[in-house]
Amino acid sequence: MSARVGMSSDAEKRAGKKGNRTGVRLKVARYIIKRTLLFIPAILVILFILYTLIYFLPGSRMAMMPISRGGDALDSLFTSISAPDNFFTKFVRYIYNIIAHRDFGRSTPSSAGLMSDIAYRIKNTLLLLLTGVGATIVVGVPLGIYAALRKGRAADRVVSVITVFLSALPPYTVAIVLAIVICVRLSLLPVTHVASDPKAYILPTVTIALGGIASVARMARSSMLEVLEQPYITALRSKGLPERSVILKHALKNAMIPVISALGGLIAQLLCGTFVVENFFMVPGLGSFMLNSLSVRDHFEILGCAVILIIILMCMNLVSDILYGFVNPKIRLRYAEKPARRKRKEAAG
Amino acid sequence: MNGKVLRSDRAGGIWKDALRRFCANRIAVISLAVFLLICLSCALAPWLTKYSYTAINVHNTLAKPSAEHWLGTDNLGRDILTRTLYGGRMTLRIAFASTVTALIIGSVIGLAAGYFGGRFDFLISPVMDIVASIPVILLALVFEAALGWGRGNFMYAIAIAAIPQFARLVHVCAASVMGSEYIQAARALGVGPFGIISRHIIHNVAPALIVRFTGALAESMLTCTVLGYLSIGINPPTPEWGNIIYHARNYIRLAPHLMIIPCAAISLTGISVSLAGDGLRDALDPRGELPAARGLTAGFLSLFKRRGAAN
Repeated sequence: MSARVGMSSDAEKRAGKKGNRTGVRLKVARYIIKRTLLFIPAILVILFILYTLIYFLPGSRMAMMPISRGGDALDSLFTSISAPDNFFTKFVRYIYNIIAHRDFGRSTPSSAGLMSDIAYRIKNTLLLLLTGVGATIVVGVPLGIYAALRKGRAADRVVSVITVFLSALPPYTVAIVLAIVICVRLSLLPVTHVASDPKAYILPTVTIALGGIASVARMARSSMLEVLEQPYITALRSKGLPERSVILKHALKNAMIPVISALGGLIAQLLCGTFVVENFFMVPGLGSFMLNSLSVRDHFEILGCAVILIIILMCMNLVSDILYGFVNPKIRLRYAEKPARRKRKEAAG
Repeated sequence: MNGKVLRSDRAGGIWKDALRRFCANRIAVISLAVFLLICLSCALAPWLTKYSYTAINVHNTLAKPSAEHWLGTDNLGRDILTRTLYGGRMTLRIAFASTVTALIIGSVIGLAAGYFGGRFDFLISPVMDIVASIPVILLALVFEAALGWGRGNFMYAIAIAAIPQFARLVHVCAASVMGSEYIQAARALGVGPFGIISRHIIHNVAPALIVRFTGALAESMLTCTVLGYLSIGINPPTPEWGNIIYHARNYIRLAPHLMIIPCAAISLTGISVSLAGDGLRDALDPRGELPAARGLTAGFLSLFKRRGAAN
């Protein structure tokens, strides 16, 4: 499978050199547009599921929310068609408020609204998540490839032992050990979050990244080993290409396909670590905010935060999907060449 | 069966070969044994310990390990060994229940999508993509909020979050099997859908599914303890590895063993499951080389005879 991918990417490159660049670009643009369009119904479906779960709670304040907000476009529409005050109109109102007013509802009538409560928390969570994902990829991929190239030797064993241990350690254990060793014994970094101190972000990021590094390194290792067994690698080697360019130019691209396709799942997994880290290092983020609203049973806040997090994660997923299309021409071509088949899929999704 | 393996040097069925490869892999056998031991001791907790996991003794708090309390006592004087065993019972029960549920539902969805293809396929794949992109922790929060707190309702969230990986795996595998000629031949011979699924597809999917199952089991165990640690899991005083660690957190300077013991239990379980899973993956790979034919007993004995040259 990967061999064919390699060949088609080479063929495409040759075609590009001949001056067929615009065609390829058009396909890429088409792929990106389709992917983005597919992403909107996906978000709506998730929102609908979460909203339904929260709405039908006994005593849920969602159900008591008025459908009229007072003097906007949706109100005049609702009055003109005399819309009934039911679950669906409330869902429409909720979505409309998010899109038009960036209003995720308010838990008490006097509060300023969820958005103003969590504006600075989103920044912290995003920072942790993005640096965590970045660190995971920057460390994990080279580690896995290094292990693959040293297969069966001492370095490979050391890497695989480390990754097995890291992937089995829960994030709070890592956080505790790091905090005790680095903060308490060596007193190098502050334990708890200080808003003005960038050093306070180091330990949380390291904790988030360590779990991800293990899984990325294992994945990169196994996919690199698989690619190195392909006949086209042997062909390149026998052609006399230096090993460096065989690995970095030809093998790496195909080896990255499974890693990039797993990026979405990785981000969702790292979010778990982010919650723990925010709780442990007392970083004011969305995770600690959600746990607080959970302890006071504030469904509005839980739903609002969940919606914001889902939108952030889906955007990250979209980016990783588009990246996937760039690396894997097969996907790109599938989107570009069979519009009829895709249309049906979009309608279904 | 032993005698047969000893006599013939030829490859047996895929399962027999896999068993032979697995037994030759020392690390995998040991970690499987460790995992089974942990499961067994947690399952037999009521018979292994003489204390109740809620029995408080204020005269003997934060005790060091002794003959009376093998692993010491916690801040309320409860026996740590008892609580760790019962906690493992809860954690492993949730992990197994959610993973098995996900395995069954995911396989059914994947089989249906792979076998019937067409419209069903187009409907299922985007739905699975959507479910896979919801983080399990958000789903757990919403389920706990919707169905009631601290009674283990997050289990459904863990199960739902694990469904897509099984569904995708089975789907891809089933679709590739359906495209092969022997399925056409079976159809031409008049084998029905049930026969094709049970005789051909399941046999092809099972090895990959078993490996995926061990991975998902380790993941859902970690998720369960993370939720317990964030106190959205099981309510105390019912012990669960995550909430034991959460409550031991305050005593880390006074009595670090309160925390170290459940942490070690989680890590040991996780490591043994993933090492056993790696061993299974290597053993079930039909391309892997068969070790020299040995009886099972000989394989087990070699665990203790030769050291070095592992893997």
